[in-house]
Amino acid sequence: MDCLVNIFGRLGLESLVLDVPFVCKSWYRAALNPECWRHLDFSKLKLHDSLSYDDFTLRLMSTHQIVGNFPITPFIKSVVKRSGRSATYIALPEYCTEEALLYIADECPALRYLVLPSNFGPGRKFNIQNHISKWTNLQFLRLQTCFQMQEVLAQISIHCKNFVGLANSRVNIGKAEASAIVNFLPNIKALGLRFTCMKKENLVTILQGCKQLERFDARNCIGFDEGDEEILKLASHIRSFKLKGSMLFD
Amino acid sequence: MASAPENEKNASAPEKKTLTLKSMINNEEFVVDEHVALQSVTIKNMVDSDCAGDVIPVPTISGEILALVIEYCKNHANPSASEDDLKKADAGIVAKDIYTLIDLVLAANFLDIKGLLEVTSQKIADSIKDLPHQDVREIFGVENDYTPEEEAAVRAEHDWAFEGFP
Repeated sequence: MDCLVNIFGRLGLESLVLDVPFVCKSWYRAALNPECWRHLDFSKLKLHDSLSYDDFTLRLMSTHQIVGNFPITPFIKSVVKRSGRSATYIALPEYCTEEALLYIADECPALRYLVLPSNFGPGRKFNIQNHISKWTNLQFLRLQTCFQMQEVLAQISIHCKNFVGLANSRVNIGKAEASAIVNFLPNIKALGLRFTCMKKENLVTILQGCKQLERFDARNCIGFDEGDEEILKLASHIRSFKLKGSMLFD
Repeated sequence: MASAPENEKNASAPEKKTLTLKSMINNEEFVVDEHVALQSVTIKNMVDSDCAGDVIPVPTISGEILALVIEYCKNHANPSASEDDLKKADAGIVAKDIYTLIDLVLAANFLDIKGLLEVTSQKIADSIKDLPHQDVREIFGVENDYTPEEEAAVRAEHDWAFEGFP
C-alpha cells in the first residue's frame, strides 16, 4: 500500500528499524519496500559507550543484545542494502569506516545528498575523492573538516552534473581552495563555509567567481569583518548571505 | 460542458466553470470552481477525457473529508496566497485526530493531490515517529497478528551484527 510506504519513508531510521516491522504483519511487509529507506541518517550512531550512546544506539544494543563496540559498519551496510540502491540522502557518523563508504559508493547510485563526518583524526583518512565518480546524481555534499577539498571538487566537476550545494566547516579556505571552488563549481547555488579561516581576498574571489550563488553562509569566520561594506556590496545579489560573527582577527 | 471539444475548452471562458463533487458515502454535494477541483489529478484526468458528468461521484470519501480536501485545494488555487499563508493553512487542515488524518491521506492518494498527500503523510509520520510499536498499535487500533515465534523471527532478521554480506 503506497500510503504506508510514503509515511514510513518520513519516519527515520529508529522507527523503521526498531518499531514499524513489529506493529503487525502488513506493516512489516510495507517496510520491506526499498522506498521506505531512501533517507538514511546514521549521524547520531556511536561506536562505544565512552562517547556516551544516544538513545537510538542504546535501543539497538539492548534489543539485539550487543556487548562491546556497536557494529557500525555491518549496521550501515545492512540498512543500505534495504534501500535497494534507491537511497537519496545519507548522513554518516563519526567512526564511519572506509569499508562502509565503499559499500555506499557501490550501492547508492541515486544519492543526491551526502553528509560526511570529519576525516581528521587517527584512522579516519577517507578518500572521498575516489568514490565521487559513483555518485553521478549528487547535488549536495556536506563535509566536516575535509582537507582534500580541491581533489574532491575536481571529481565533482567531472562526474556530478547536477551539483548545487557544498558545505565544509572548520578548515582553511586559502587561495588554492577559493580558486578550486570558483574553477570547479562556477555555477554553485549554495555554499556553507562556517567557522573557516578565510582571508577577505579569498572570499572576494568566491563572490566574484560564483555568480549563481543564492545562499552563502560565512558566519563565524576569521579573516574578514562582518560589517565589511565591499563584501556586502559584492554579495548583494545573493538571496541569503550570512556573515554574522565573522571577524578580521581571532 | 462534458462533451465540449478540446479546442473550445482551452479557449478563455467568459463565465467561471464549476464542478459538483458528490461524496458517495453520505451523498453530500459540493459545488467547486473548476480550477480548484482540477488540482486533483484524478478529477483532471476525468474532465480531460470527458468522463466527468455534471456531478462527479467520489467513492469512499465522506463529506467531512471531502470538505477538508476542497479547503486545501481552494487555498492552493489562490494565486495571491504567500508561502507562509499556505504553510499556516496547511497546518490548520492537518491539525486533526489520527483517524481523520488516515481518511485524509487515503483521500489525497485517491484524488492524486501531491501536496496534500505530503503534508498529511508528514503529520502522521510526526505523530508516530520514535514511538514504541506497542503505542503505535494503540494509536492506529492495529491488532498484533504475530505469534511470539514470528515476532522473534522478524527480530532475528535484523540481527545485522551477524548478517553476512556477499
